[in-house]
Amino acid sequence: MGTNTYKLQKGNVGRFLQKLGEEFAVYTPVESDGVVAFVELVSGEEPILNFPRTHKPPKDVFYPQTEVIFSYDKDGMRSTEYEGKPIALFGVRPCDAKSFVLLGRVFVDPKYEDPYWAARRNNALVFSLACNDPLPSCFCNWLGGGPFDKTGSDIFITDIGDAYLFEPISENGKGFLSSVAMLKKATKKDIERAQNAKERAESSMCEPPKLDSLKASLDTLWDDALWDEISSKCLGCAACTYSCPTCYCFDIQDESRRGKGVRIRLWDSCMFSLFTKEGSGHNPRPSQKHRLRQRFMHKFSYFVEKQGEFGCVGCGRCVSLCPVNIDIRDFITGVLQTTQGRLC
Amino acid sequence: MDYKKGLVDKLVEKIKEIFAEEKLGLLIGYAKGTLPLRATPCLIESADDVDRLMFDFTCQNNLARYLVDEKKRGDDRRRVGIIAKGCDARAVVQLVVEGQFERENVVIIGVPCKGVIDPGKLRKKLAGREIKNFEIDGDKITLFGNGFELELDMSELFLDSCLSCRYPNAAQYDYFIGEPAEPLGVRDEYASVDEFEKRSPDERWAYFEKEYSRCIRCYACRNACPMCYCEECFVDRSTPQWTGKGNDLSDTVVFHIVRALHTAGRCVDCGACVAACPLNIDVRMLGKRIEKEVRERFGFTAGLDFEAQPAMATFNENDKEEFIM
Repeated sequence: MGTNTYKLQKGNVGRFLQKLGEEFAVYTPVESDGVVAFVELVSGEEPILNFPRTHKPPKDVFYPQTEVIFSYDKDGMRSTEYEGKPIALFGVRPCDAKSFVLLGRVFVDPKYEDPYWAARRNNALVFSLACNDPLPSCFCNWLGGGPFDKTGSDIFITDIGDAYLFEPISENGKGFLSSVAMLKKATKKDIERAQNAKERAESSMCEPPKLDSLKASLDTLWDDALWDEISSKCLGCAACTYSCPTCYCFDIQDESRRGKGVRIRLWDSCMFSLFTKEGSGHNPRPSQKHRLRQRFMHKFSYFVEKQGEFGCVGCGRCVSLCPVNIDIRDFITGVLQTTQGRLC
Repeated sequence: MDYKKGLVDKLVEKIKEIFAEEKLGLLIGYAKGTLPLRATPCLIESADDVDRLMFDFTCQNNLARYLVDEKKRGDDRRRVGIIAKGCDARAVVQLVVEGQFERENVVIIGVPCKGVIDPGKLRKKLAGREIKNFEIDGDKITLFGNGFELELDMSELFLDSCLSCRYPNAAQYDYFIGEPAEPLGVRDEYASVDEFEKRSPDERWAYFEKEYSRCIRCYACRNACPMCYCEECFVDRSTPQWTGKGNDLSDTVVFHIVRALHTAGRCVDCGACVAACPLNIDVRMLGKRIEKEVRERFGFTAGLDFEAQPAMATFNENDKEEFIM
């Protein structure tokens, strides 16, 4: 945080968002029927910025649960890429901001760019908001993140009590901030307050276990009895994967009627019995044990192999929402204990 | 709340005996979870692991659901012990009545239930915060988190199903551990349904639209339900496909309505579906309305009697049929 840091009084946030809305479709955490999620802010609606972790991750802003990818009728076929205003996500927690970097590796691979995800993501501005009070189920610091981690942010916001500090991270973020007249320069004292908040937040989290050997450990446990034990209580629902900011598996379906139709892409979950079920009826992952192993191996082994880091940001949503309390942190520490001393 | 260590000690000691006496191959019970106010189901195959068992007001899952898994695995010849609140026991009975599990292969171990926590209500009360600890004093609970304290009546956190439960103790059991519990005392079981029925069709539709539009089709409700045991659920049919699979409201509503109809005369109102829903959707209203209908028309309550004939699979000349044109 340095001399290019700006400050916005909390009372002016509404005006700031209005200004942002002139150029962008603004998504912020909004409460509706007890559920807090990122939705497009309509004028006059109150964003909830002090909410620690939205119930749903902002994943669906770039990657809707159900999305038409093209439509067709007797006159031909039309692709339906996003053509709306560029998107601004305001108030994304650092774990969720990091998830966009991980998802970007999947959706914007040099060889295979996903035009639907990219059309929304490429021109978007991500304003992430530091976590002054990490929750007990948060474990971002196990996975290289942290309550003040700036990965994936264009602009990094810190709550310093009566005001927010805005620090530009990317070139886009820098460009945007310098164009907004209503922002003031932050003082040395403001920056000190932000620094204190950072230290407090980081020290409030438990010391994380070292995960350097996690992938190697998991790779020795393919046939281990631990999968039977955890999967025996798994319900096979998608409360974990659908609330996960980094799960991205999808299915493709055609819906047609009387000479016209659409092809849609929709979220899929490795927890479902239909996941990877083949046309012949054969399923290479026939039981919940195979499917649960896929979920954990994908995050902590295959993703590491392909992308060089874990496919989990430690947001803790699956921890808090699993109906049978399958706790991914417990799983990780269990794996490390099981293999302790067995790896060279 | 008198879930003192006493009951758990007694439970562990007694189950060790039952394990040997009944030659159990599997015991389905609860263990302490990793989060405050959360227990976790545990499936124990050896008497040596019985010490992990516990039971209290955090045990919200309906364990009868795991009997169906056992059956699907093809292991249904080993004897299975199950720790059962009133609603778990009713689900076991209903599964036996429906021919889904052999009576002689299941040992029902009843425990007194004084209500269980609804994770959705807890989430609403906490408004995004999380707790680190809690204290119980009589019917009061105090929740402690980072920089906050919240005192509540326990009943504010219990599942609606518990608040109108008439069967807190197993109606059928092989063993019962502890003293039978009294029902929580809310007598008008169908009050919310009756109130709802007074609304206009538009208002009722608006309510369902608001609730089901939050659905993300994760199927936690269905998968937590002991009565949802179809080999292949209609929403999973793919050759040919029966319904759209996205979160379009029309498809979502089809799923919820068909599920409610399919559990008619079978639902034991355990609230496991409500407890499992990550988005606090009222998945109980439809089912409760249907349960009322079955009770009024056929005098039938699911899961009380091993000899009962399933309500939807039997005909009695006294059945009310004025609705047939």
